Amino acid sequence: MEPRADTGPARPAISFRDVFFRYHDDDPHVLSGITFDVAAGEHVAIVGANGSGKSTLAKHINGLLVPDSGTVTVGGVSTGDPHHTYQVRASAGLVFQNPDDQVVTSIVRDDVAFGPENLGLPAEEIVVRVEDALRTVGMWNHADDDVAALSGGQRQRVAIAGILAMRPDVLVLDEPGAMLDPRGRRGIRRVSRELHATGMTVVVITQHMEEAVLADRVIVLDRGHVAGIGTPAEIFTDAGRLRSLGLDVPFPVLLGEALRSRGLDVPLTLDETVLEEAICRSASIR
Amino acid sequence: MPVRFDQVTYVYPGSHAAGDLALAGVTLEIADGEFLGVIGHTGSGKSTLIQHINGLLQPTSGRVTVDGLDLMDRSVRREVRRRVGLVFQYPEHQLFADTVSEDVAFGPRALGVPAQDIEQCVIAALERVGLDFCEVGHRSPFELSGGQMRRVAIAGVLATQPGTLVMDEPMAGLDPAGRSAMRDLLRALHQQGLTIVMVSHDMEDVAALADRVLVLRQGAVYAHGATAEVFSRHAELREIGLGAPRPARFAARLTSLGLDVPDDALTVEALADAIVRACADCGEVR
Repeated sequence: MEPRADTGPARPAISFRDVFFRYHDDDPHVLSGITFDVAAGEHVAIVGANGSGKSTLAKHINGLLVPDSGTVTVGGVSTGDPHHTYQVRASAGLVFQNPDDQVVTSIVRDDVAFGPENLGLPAEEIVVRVEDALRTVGMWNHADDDVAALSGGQRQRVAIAGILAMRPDVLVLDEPGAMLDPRGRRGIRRVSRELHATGMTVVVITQHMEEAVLADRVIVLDRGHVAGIGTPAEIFTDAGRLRSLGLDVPFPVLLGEALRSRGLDVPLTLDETVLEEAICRSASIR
Repeated sequence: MPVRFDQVTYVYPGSHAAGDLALAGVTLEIADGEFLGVIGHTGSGKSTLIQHINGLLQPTSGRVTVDGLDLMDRSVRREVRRRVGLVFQYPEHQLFADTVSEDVAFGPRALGVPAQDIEQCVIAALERVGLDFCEVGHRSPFELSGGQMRRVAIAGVLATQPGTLVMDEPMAGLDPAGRSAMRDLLRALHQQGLTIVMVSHDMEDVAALADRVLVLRQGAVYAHGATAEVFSRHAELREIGLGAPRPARFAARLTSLGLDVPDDALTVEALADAIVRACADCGEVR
């Protein structure tokens, strides 16, 4: 059976329509009526406090979980359609928080080859894909290393390479930096930025605002509901709302708030440079 | 003087290369009631250092004493482990008992606290971490939220009434609300007189909590002093790949733009005060 090909070029890469989900029949819903689209090539960040449903949502994008009601489509194909499970998994790759949850073999290149091997690709194609994927994440020089000898950030990049080797259209990163130190997080941020630049659709689930502000759009989850969708500038400048959602207020917004309460005329901005300039201006005006 | 390191060197068993010093001649003192933040890259020796404080590791050369007890002396190690509680990273992964009270009771029981006193130890320890014995004592620790599970794990360490609490990345993986609650908890424990040693890669957490900061690099002490003093050396910190807290970095940028803002501000509020003062000074000069 072929997937529906009913829409034009504007077809979203990912589409959630009124998605409800709970893990057990007598539990409350973890997702309650989630609706949003992600355009092809878009970089979207999903933020929310613990328990907001972020990871559950991520597992819906590649069909690891399917909605109790409502629909999730990836590239126009419904994840709930058992005929297309393979196609969905191949088009949306999910990288988990802990790289150790997804590393399967001991040598880096074998680990990255695991996914394409399962796709049944010819050996010479696999060799090419493994090299491409490892170069993309900056780990080609570690291809023959033991995974156990790598740092957490390096293991996470190998895990991403394992997904990239399957050549997905959509990359979903579930809190990729949560268990890494700042240097490891910077490395992952760079990789996700570069992938996005190559045209890949990137969805990153994160609690780190420095990751979220890099996205084109931010989706805020609150106890299973979409509490807001907008650009980082729209979402992250509303300090009161962020606090009530249990989210961090970015530094430039906090500082701007503190300066205005002290009578200094500075704008509400996410951009530190804009804030610096405004401060310097008010210093010379006085 | 509860903790003292004297020329401590440590080589992990099995490493042969001359450069494989996990600790390279560390000398330091941690005073009673101090809150020490320990920062440094992954691999800088932070975890190795803290495992020396309660005798989990013994120096290859040099000496570690706790309240004058020399940890090379096997007979004192049990007593030192009672005095120094070690909370590992993600301590909730080590919860194991059927109920919260059983889990918290494990430590005091292992140290030979008489059976009739154990419940009192458990009640008091849970109270110190903000959990109510009647409410959670009988529950399975695995039914609790992630933040609550971490509190139970900390209560398990506090149950033996240590004077020093050593914590490895206590905020790791917590969401902003959980992090802020954990900061409040650590502040309260410090105010109750506990000496706290906290390893963290979050400079804001260290700036908000610690009186003093120890910077490790390649197993050696790179900097050690009052928090504001250490973080004012951001050029050096940047050189070794560590960032100073955002307020200190922002102050340095303003100074480079010609507005002289002292860079010892560790919080947004202190920075806003310093900026307003600097702007006023500018006005007077003009």
